[in-house]
Amino acid sequence: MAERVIFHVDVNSAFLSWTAAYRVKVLGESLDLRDVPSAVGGDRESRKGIVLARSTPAKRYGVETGEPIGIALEKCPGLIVVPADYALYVEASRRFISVLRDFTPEVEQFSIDEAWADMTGTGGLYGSPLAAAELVRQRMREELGFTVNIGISSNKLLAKMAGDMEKPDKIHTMFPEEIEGKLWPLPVRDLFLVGRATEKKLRDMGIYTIGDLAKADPDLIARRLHKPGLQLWHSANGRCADRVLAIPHTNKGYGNSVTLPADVTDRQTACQVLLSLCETVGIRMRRDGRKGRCVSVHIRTADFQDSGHQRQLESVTDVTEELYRTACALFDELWDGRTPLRQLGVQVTRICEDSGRQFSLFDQGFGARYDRMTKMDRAVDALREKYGESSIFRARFAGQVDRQLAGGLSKERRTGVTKPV
Amino acid sequence: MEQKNRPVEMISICSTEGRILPVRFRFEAEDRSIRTVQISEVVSSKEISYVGVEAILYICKVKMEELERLLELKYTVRTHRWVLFRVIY
Repeated sequence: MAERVIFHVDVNSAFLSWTAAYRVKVLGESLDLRDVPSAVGGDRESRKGIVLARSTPAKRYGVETGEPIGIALEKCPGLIVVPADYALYVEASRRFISVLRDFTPEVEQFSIDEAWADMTGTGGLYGSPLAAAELVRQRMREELGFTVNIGISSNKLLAKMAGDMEKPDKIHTMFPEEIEGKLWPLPVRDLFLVGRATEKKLRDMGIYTIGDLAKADPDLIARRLHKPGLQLWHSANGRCADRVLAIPHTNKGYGNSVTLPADVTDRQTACQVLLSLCETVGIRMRRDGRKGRCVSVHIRTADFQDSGHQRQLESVTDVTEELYRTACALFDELWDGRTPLRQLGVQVTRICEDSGRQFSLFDQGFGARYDRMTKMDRAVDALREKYGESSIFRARFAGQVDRQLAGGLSKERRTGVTKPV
Repeated sequence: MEQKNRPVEMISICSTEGRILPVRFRFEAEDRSIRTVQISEVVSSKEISYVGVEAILYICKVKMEELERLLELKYTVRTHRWVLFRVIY
């Protein structure tokens, strides 16, 4: 088989680029945020005040993505902080993917601002991979007004590693014969899927660079880090057999979480938040026609201690009410009733296609009402679809309708950014 | 007139081929008076989609206060809004 050609295309500091390009190209402002120290920040009022993206000049001041805006302002007092505009980002992301699809049908979206494109066999259309990448980069810049980094290689992993090299607005190649020079000198932390914990384990074994890992004994790695370790060892050697998946895998779970504007200290409020999360999760599952069997709840305390708890249900479900009851029961077992809570989350896993329900002979409570609850959920979904999300709500949310569907970052985001467009 | 991106009310022609052509527009001037402007010629138009925002950009000749001016007018497809994007001269 001929060698494959895979592109990894990544928007340079996406949120910031998009906001900046919007202001310059659409609103006609003369100041380009990309040329000055600036950052896109979450809402400080509701305690989501972290840096979501920063410009290259801000990076020079040491402003890092994910740190609180207060700290960023200390490092760089003149920092311009702009709010996020998710509706715009979704639109930009769609357009970004659709431009890539013009070049090849085999496009796999990896996140809101990254994608892999299988360019194998396009030599007759666009010339060499480098020429094709240049075309993609040019079109993005001229047509959409933002810059991208493109990594070129013969598999997804190496393409991603190449894409993450020097930024912005650059094209890099990393074909297998270049691994030794380009990939191996990098610190092991830079390898795809190596996080803080893995880095520490590897360091303890005396592995500091990707090259160290590549040359290490696979048996030793496997003993310490098990199967994922072996995967990393293959990665370090530039081996990756994953295909570019134009059709994404189906969801393995549905989960939503919310960071609260103020810490929760009473059960009633917590349960209300859980209900709003269950509503969101339920709606998403029903829209995809899927049900789940395992419900889990996680909490984060005010001092950032995470914990979670999960339970298997007797039968699969997508009913909000059933999710909510289970979530509350789990929450009661999980929480001591005192510690202030900062974040709550609900997740449903062990998903299967919408199938019938296994009724239980002994289920006198909820099971008997299951059919009616299902019908009600469908009716509520249909009403919300037609007349808007706040057209109908539980009495519990009277006077605070905006709180009834928690989780997700904005309405636009709930429609599923990472799904095919 | 220096302000960029000024919203305007527009009368336009939608042709049978689906093309949109601006004809006449009005806007509120600094002194709060309503000014109406007739477009004498559409010099060029192009479709743009910066950051995914689809729009059509028109370069138009108009006559204002006995002066010929060249303007950039923009129609945003999703919101159906017209703006006077900038005055070229």
